Amino acid sequence: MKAFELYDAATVQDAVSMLSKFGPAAKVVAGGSDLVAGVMKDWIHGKGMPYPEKLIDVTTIPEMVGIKLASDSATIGAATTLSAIAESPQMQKGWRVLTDSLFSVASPEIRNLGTLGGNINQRPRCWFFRGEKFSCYKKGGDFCFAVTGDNRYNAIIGGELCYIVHPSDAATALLALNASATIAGTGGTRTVQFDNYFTGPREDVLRENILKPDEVMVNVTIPRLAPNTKTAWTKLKFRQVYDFALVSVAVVATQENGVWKDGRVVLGGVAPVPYRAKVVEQALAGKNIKENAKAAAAAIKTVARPMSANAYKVDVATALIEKTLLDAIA
Amino acid sequence: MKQVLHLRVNGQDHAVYVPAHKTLLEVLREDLNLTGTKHGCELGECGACAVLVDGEPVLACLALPIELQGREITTIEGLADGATPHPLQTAFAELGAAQCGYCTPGVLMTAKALLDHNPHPSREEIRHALAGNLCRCTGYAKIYEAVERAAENAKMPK
Amino acid sequence: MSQLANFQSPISNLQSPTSIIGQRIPKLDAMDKATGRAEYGHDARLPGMLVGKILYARVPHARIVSIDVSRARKLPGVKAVITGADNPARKFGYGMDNTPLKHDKVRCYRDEVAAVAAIDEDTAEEALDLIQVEYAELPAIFDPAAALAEGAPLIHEDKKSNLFTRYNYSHGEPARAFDSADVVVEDDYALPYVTHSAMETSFCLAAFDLQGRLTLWSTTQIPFLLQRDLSEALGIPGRDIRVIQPAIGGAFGRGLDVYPFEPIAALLAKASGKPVRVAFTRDEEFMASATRQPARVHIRSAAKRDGTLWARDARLLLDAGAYISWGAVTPLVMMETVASLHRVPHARFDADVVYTNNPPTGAMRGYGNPQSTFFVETQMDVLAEKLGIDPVEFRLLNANRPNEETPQGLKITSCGLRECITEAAERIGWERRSQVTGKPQSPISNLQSPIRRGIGIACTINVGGGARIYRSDGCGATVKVDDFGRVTLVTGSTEIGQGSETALAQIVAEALGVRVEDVAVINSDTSIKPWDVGTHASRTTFIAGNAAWIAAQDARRQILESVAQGFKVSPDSLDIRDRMIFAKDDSIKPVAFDRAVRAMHYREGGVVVIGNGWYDPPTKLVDKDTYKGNISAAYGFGAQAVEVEVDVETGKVRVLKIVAAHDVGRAINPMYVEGQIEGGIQMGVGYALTEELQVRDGRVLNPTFLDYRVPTALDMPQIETVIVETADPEGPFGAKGVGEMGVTPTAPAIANAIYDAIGVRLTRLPMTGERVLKAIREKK
Repeated sequence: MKAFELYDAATVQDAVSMLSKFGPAAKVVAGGSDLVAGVMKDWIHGKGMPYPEKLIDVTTIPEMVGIKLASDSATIGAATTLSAIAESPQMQKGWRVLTDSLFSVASPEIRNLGTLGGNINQRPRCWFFRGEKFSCYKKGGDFCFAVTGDNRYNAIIGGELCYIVHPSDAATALLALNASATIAGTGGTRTVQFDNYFTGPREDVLRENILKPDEVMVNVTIPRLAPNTKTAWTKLKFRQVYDFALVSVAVVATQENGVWKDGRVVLGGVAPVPYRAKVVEQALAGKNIKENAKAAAAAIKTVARPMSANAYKVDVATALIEKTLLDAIA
Repeated sequence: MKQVLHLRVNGQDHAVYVPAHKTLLEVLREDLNLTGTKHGCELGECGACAVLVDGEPVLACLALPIELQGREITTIEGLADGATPHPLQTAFAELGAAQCGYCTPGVLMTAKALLDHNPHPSREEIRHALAGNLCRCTGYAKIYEAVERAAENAKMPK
Repeated sequence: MSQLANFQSPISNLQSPTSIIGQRIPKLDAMDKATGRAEYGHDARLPGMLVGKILYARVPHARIVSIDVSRARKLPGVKAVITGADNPARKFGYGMDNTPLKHDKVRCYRDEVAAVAAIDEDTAEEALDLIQVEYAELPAIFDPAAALAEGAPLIHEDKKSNLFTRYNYSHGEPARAFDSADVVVEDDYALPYVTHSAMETSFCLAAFDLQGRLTLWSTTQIPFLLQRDLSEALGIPGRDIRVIQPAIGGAFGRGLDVYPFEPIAALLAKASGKPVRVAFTRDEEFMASATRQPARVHIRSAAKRDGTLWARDARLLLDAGAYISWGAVTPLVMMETVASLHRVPHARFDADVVYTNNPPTGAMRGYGNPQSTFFVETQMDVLAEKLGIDPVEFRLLNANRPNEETPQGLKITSCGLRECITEAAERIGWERRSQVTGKPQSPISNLQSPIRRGIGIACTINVGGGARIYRSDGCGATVKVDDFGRVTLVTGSTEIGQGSETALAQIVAEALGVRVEDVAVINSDTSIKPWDVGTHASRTTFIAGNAAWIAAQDARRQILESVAQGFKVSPDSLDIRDRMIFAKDDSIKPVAFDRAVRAMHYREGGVVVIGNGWYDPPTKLVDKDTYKGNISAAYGFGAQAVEVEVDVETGKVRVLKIVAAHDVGRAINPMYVEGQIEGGIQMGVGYALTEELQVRDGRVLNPTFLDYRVPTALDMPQIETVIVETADPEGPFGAKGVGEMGVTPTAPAIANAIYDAIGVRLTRLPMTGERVLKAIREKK
């Protein structure tokens, strides 16, 4: 593994000041299943992705670990492990779509180590990005190997320049839950809706979200579901453990007598960001969900632009949207 | 940059002098000579290096020992009660659950955590608990049987 | 004539009430493995040991213009840096086309260009980064068909073409048989790169002694052949090379060839004057160890209207990669399945083995048979459907029978194929098939369910009595008895985790009338153990078992003769059971086994008890032109029946249950027979559904367990293993080999079940969701 120095942050302020002092050579580590194993050990680097020399551990910051419940929301420290969240009875009761999504991550051991913030902010899993021999756009190179290469797992929506898919299951569920993140930086603390958190390759191909180099995600706040809201989670993977989503769907549906009043349909594994399928939501608006699930799901085809080898993902997404909608209201 | 770390492994305190980027797997195997914990992929994708940290299974190849000071680390070498094997070890040996044996320490530690939390797991619960431990020899069948046998036989030692 | 003829047949001993044959006895090293105490190569440490690392090519086909190692040599902690320029280009390997470090050119991405030995892993890695290599690129070929085209660039310039070898086999009159058949089917198949994925990565540790003799600790399966290979690669006499096998964390055929990293470790040890270990990282394991051959196949099968299987004709194109390993010989096994699985009056098999700039392929469990069984057994179903005959009935009609010679010259002795088919079909509930086929998961509760169920079956034939691939298929053994009654079997064979040493201990204990715990097995050091070909072709229990039996009988004879002499009775009147020597007619007072041996030692003119055994089966190398001949002394058979669910909207296939019925002759230790079959099935499920090494333009895209999908606990179905015993006349106690045949029928059985579920025939592995969906779409 590439050598690095490791610093334990005691407080959020501490982490932020180290980040700003060390500059771009420093990175936050919050478990390490991606940064340590996936990046440092695989020596993934490029012009736009220098090796981190200093890692700042945020799991040592008490305020960043744990779940706080309020009457209208839950706030989860970004350094809380996936297991702790997934196994929390309150979280299971109030936000099942999130706990189901977390149970579908990797393996039990990884969930014991991986954290919420780490999962949301992990780097993509495109095999060209991860392959040592490919200097791709995302690493600061000048080519997307997926365009001409084997792109069976790449984006079917919103790819441009770079065709990664966002790897996070948690992010997909949190966007569906209309959650927000608290971010601390040298300029202070800000709250960002997940609607505005993730960024596509056109904005900046070198990253996947708005987090600046000196910023830390402190916690995530999830509002309680409105009355008559049903949720469901589906993740398709061809192997039951370890796999990232081929396509995942999170549905949060507020209904009245089976009619869609409000809600979100969010897809993972299809776009460079967790993808909110507004076309599907619009197709359901004011309509009976059960009767219209199939037609609404098919609306995803109108926005999909598959690549040479991943058109099947459009069919899979269509089927899974329908299934997840029906699961939610079942 | 090396530093001194204080680790508690199998009930014993150790001071090791290692660089920050050494993983727990490396420190266990190279500095503490506890080679029972195996190196399978070093990327958190096979489960061969699973150890317990405060009773929970964690992959030693991903864990940084600097973060584990003051925590209770248990490896395969600490599974037996002195000369008395853990019921899981006996069951694994008797039922052919170890063939090449390379995944066995990681499987055993993960199974121990399961039985500690849930002394009488169903077959389905065993499968889910061991889902992250790859085995290339057994097809997992004999592993399930051994965990079930251990649960039956166990008065689990604390 | 078999050497066994000189001895009491092991089978006649089966009636013994104290028999430890057939018992579920734990492996001799079971507790070592359950406690983490077993010492694997990766655990080995020697004083002063250095870490060796290899620099691989960055281009797939190029001349090496220059290599600058000066910066690497200066890095503190680096003890040796070597390149081809420092070492003579000694050729080695099955094709004699590889060298430890490459000299003039590189032919694939895994070519070894330079190597370093350093005080630790990090320093060695850093040193590799400092080596500058300049290449002049050459046109590369990744498509085996293109490699055969006229004017294609040559991978090896000293050869006239990229065709390494061509196999042409036939029996009967295949050309005319298709005209006289009533039903003919044909299809194209494609088989992927897959790899062993042993949990322990490849390893070796090389150390020279002061006399210049090399000791190599290695994860090899062929310690004696490795001596020879290393001798060729290093220019050291074989007698100065000692190979030691520590506990091996899985091998599955990976260890059947010498790999460049082994001589490289030795060269680094020589250059640095220190022991050097080379332990592959996992991505190195995926990129630089061998794979099963990918194959493109066109096959035709024909039958008569009455259901008689009539003819098969298979044409294969095999991509060997940049160098030829023993993997190039797998067509011998593939043709066996085409020509001899079920009775086939007419058969033809042609295969071209071709060089490309892809990573080299090698031997992997099944050795050609998983590929061949996939296209042969799926096409059996296609034929059955066209004939309107039930697939089980069609197979029962044509199945191999005991005591018949196939047109290929395989002398089938014991054969329980029909029993296997019947057992597998009954236990999966074949009679439910018409109610299950294509039906949703639970028709009452959810009419809309996209899940369809299906049931399928496939069969296998596999060598079960060794395989004469080399001129010898022999194994040596000695059995030593000490004066405490401790028995030591020194066997040439190799334990790679499968449990064969325990089976051998059972055989020896049975022969000598002692307990299994009285028997130690020594099998890991070429300087101690007698010669053996290696652990391959499911041969160890059969071949090494017979050798151990012969050696134990020799020791037994010596002991009984000594006791008989003392009592002035005939040795034949004596027997040994549970450590006691007694007369069958109770005419003498029983003598303790250990006492009898002590008496042989402690006397003037005493003797030591060492029994010797050598067994080479009564088989032949196949004829070099016709490929006919009896390659194995026995054949194993099996049938697997599978129930699956297919989601027609996502393409996801879930295997619910596999019944595996295998004719193993006799199970010396049923627990590990089941273990072999169940482990084989896991590889078979992976081969069928999820595993594929993605090689694009010579590069491996998925060198991780994340992207190379070995089935996890949650991916595996319920497995019911049925052991069918047929007591082979040549096998030890009737046993036949079982190491490989668990894997061979799994993928075609799953493919046949998928067809049953959704009416779509997949001819390409793995049958991933995307391929299932594509096939459904194309059918519409």
